[in-house]
Amino acid sequence: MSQDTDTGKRTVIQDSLTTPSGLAAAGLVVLGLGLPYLPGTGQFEVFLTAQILAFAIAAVAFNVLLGYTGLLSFGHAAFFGGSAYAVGLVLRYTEIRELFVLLPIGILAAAVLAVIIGYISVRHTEVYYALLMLALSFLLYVVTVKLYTFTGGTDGVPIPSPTVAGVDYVAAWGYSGFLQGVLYYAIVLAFLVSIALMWVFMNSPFGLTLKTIRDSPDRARAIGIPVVRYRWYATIVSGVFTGVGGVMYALLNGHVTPGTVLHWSRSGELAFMAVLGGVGSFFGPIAGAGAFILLRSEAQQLTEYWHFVMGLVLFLVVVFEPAGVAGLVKRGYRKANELIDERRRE
Amino acid sequence: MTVLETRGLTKEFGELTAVDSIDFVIESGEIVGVIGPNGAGKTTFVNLLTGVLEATDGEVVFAGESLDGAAVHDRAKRGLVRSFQIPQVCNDLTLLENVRSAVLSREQRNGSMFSVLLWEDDSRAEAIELLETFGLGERQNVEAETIPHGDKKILDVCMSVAMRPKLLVLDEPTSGVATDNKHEIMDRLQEYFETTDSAVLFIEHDMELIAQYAERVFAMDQGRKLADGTPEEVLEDSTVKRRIRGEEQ
Repeated sequence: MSQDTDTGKRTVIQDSLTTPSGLAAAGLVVLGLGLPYLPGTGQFEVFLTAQILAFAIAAVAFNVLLGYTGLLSFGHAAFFGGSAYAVGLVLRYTEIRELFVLLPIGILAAAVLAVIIGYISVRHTEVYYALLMLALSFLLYVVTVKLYTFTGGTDGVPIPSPTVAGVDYVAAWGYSGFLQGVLYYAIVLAFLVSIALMWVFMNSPFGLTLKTIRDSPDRARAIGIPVVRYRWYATIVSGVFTGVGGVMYALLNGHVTPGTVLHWSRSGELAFMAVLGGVGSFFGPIAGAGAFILLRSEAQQLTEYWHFVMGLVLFLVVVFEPAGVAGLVKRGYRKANELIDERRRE
Repeated sequence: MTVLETRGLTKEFGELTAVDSIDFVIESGEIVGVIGPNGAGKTTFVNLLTGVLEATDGEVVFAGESLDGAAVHDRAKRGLVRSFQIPQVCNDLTLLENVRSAVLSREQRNGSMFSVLLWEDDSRAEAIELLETFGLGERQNVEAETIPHGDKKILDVCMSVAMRPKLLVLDEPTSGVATDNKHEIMDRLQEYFETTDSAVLFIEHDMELIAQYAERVFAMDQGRKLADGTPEEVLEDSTVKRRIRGEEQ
């Protein structure tokens, strides 16, 4: 790499870190890293945040397809649950307990599923793509339920806490110490690495290729882009990172069932998070995952009709703020700037 | 050097023969206008060249190789590039991103995932240069959605040119553009193509533009070749006058 590129890179990073949103992001990362040590945070808050981060990985990955490639998938539960189940079954049938072995296994499972399901689905677009993804992921759900002697059926599989780099932290520190001192940080790390990688991918020539396909498949072909093949690649990238989210969810939850990770409603939730956060923005779905899980957590405590609350929120977002949380923030930021300018002029 | 040659190229839609055994040759550097009344098969002919439609019979030879079975994107990569009658640009992307996407595609870098475009300058410089050549340089960071129709047509061509075509097929480059601007677009194109040895094939209804910009004219009627020669010869041909120019009056 030339020195020019290095300087250019440094300037871009410096510039983006000194903007208000860059500072806010850096602040959030610091806050996230310090969370378990903040006064007043207990196991529940750490668990909830870790859950948000696990889903945020999957929601951003989902948006690689919806926001960047223009493909709506209703089958992401297959990647999320596929990786979670791969981890669960390995734990059930082998002696492997190591996080750094389980994670690659989960990712590999999601990748294999994405390669196969994606290959079939990308032959079609729009509603047919969505429905094929739905059908194939539902197939995985049914197979998992039916093969109960192998998979545990609807009871699912327990996910005992893994060792990390060979150390059994649960035995040493107890579960709460493991969650707040090790697992939480593993999930934060997985989140940061996944988001960074996906950001690079979406800002690379590959990402621009996907956006070209999203905006005009005919144009993409006319400039030599094999559209179907790149839709497939996008599905694989999306599936792999959704798998990372799935592994983290499984480890955090300590148990997976077909209903919690493979059911089609899980795919719907990822779509919900992406839309809630804003599909037009790279970081939007992270906010979407946060808003969704906090909202659901509150709504569940408030009423047993929490589905109704969630449905109402989705309705309101789609009608009044289609750009989601990201759109709200952008608009608020612009308003604030205008106000500041006005004050200055006065 | 012959860039493209068709031999007995035919396309049937059920009973209708839209393109009827066309033999056609274009040399590099040539600018050829295609004329014909509505329904003459001009667009079908062009679609057969670019791979949008599959021929019923006959073959297309491009740069010495048969294009039998080659997909649209494959032909584009080999240098047979088209522009669109209704401009096809990426509305949510800036003009710079639009052209850069084509540049990167030509460089076979679509799959490059680990280089961030924000700090990558070669493809940006080339895209900016192209936009400036076509008079869009000042608006490089504007989203394509916001520019007027005529400029979208130029952007459409600019993206095609970024592929460094051996043959560029322009499907009515000035349709839907105000008369005053038609010459502006054609002048820019002519100026650009004088600097390359790319062949250009353009469909056009405006006989004035044909007479002014085409070096050779290929006239079609009912799927067949009607005439092929210099603009003077073809435009004064009695059948062409009756069948094609007659409609204009």
